[in-house]
Amino acid sequence: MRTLIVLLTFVFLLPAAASAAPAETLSFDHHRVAVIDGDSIQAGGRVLQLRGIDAPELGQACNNGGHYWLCGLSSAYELRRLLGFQMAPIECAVGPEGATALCMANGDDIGVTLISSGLAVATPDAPAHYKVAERHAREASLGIWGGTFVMPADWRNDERLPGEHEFTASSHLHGNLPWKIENGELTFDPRSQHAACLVKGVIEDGRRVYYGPLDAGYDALHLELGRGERLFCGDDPARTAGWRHKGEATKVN
Amino acid sequence: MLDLRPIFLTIGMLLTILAVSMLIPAAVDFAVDNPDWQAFAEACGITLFSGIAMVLSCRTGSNDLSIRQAFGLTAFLWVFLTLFASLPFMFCELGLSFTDAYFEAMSGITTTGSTVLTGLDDLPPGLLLWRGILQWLGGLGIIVMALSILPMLRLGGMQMFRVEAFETEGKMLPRAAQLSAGIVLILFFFTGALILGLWLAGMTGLEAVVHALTTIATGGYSTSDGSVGHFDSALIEGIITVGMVVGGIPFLLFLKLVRGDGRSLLRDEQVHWYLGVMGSVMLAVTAWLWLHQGMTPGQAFRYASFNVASIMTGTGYASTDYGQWGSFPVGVMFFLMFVGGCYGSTACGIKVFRFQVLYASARSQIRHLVQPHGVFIPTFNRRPISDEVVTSVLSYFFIFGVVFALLSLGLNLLGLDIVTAMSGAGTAMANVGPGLGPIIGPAGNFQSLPDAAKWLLVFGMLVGRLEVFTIFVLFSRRFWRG
Repeated sequence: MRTLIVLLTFVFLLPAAASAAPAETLSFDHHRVAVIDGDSIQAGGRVLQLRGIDAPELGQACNNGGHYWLCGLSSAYELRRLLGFQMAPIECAVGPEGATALCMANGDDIGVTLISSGLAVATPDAPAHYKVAERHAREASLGIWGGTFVMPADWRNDERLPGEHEFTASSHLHGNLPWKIENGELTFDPRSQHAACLVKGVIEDGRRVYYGPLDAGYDALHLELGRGERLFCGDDPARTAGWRHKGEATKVN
Repeated sequence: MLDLRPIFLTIGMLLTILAVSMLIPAAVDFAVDNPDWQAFAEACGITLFSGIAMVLSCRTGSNDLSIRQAFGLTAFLWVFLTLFASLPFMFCELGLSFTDAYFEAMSGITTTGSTVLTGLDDLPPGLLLWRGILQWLGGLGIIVMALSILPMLRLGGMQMFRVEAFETEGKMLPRAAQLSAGIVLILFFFTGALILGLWLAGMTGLEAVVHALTTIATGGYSTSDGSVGHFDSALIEGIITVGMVVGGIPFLLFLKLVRGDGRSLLRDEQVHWYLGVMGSVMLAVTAWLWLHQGMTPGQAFRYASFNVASIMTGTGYASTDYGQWGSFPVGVMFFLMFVGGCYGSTACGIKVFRFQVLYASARSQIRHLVQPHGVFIPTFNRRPISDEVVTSVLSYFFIFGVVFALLSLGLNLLGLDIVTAMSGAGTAMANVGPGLGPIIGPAGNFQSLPDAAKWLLVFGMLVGRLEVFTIFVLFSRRFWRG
């Protein structure tokens, strides 16, 4: 009987212990961290999604009193700014699945900082204090809460604010065109018509690599659609399609 | 009724200078094929037209300003210059809203340095240069006003700084013009030296120019989101620290130095206090960082000296997030931002001389308590301080405190937490730049604040830069009636 109780306890507690404890804890100097977008970083050759938060996508625009602004890019820039000022290493507790992480900067939860500034929303499964931070930001009309915006999850499903497409199409985001004229014809990926798709997927040394606007060399990249290069409307669709950030590439099939 | 013609005549003339200065970033953007050159060209055209129209329609025979006109000029000048300075921010591809554009322009012209812009590292060169030019012009403007106009207005003790050669109350504008030439040359000299030093230290040409402009103006606009910390160079930080300290010294003393009178600079009590307070705080923070934060003495002095000089002069650069240094440095930085630099410099804040006046007055009072029949006269720079000056300074502190409290409460009422609200009000009124906390601290930014909060901060920047009284005088009915 005693053995059975011990075994049952072990069976029930082990999964709980496994999910509570992070798979590993990583430590990065801020010089070694690249910001992909407002909720994704790359460090140590790995791309990590900040757990519990969802920031506007890179090409996403928000509206404040009739004035559109590039809230997705702003979130990314603010994350980069926040990390750049850290003197102590950034500590990230990576989840068991290896893709999400709780990152701390000088003892402060980076995700909570971004939510508190109105530059990200809490995910449905986020801890309670994330949602409290979101409520305070909403009440103070900080950041994206100062006007109207599409929730990032809905934006990824192609939902847009009225007039948002026209704004981003006219805003000349990063200047250069994402397509080339081949054989006298202008060819482009149908999704690349959307000017808000800022992630560039290129073929480098046989590897499918994606660049975000904050990556060095992004502006100089010109896509050759005939080779299979294309735009993505965020880092998630790029990764789903099998592309990897420039620091962790994979080979083309 | 107040004759506004001389006011708008002066504003018109200065708008033409502002318009011409827009051609510099226009030329730079044109050279690199950035479409923002059109935005600067359009803004230049509108500003030039408005300036010339004001000059032509407001010409009067008189070259003088009355005291009331001087008050009006001081207030309206900064409001109107900022309005036109905000045009490039609205017209450029970034397309800032009117609120954000006016905030950025006001922060530039008042040499505050708070910014609503993100992604500075990726911005076109014209915009970065325009921000630097605005702060440089703002720094020049405040020096000229401090020497020629403000002493006549008797704002918070400033009557002490009437230049001996200009004892008469009239002829403010000719005096301003006379002083401007010398001050501009000195500013050019220091700016040029900084450009050369920073370029040799490893900055690109644009970075060196922008940082030189904003360092000597003690403004703090950078070309990077990471401020000066982005460069991670002790040499660059050292050069900029020297530049900031120089920016906080009265420029009239440099003018006298050029004319052969070096003793004035060496014997000036305000400069002694300025350097003394700054040096003491630098040492205290260095000791803290060494003993409590585990830095080496060299590292501790590097970070302490740079950031203390930045906050005290109101420059607002950051080489790191000093909010992470612990409670003592954060408290020190908060109070230091109110102290400011010397009167007659580009620096901001309450100004060192006012603390000297209060100290001298309090010391005299204490001595009088001990020796009731003794005669103890407070002095500043070896000259007696009159009761009128002491009253003026005390009034200034009172009004400053009331405005600070109301501004803090206003920001708090808008939903901002008390740290953000108080540090935001303080940094705006002291024209420093960064506040405290995760939202507007050194690692933060003012973009995410609601528009109403930004307008409150704009008001705070203006009130702080114009020595508080100037704005409130305009709300007096007697002022308009005469």
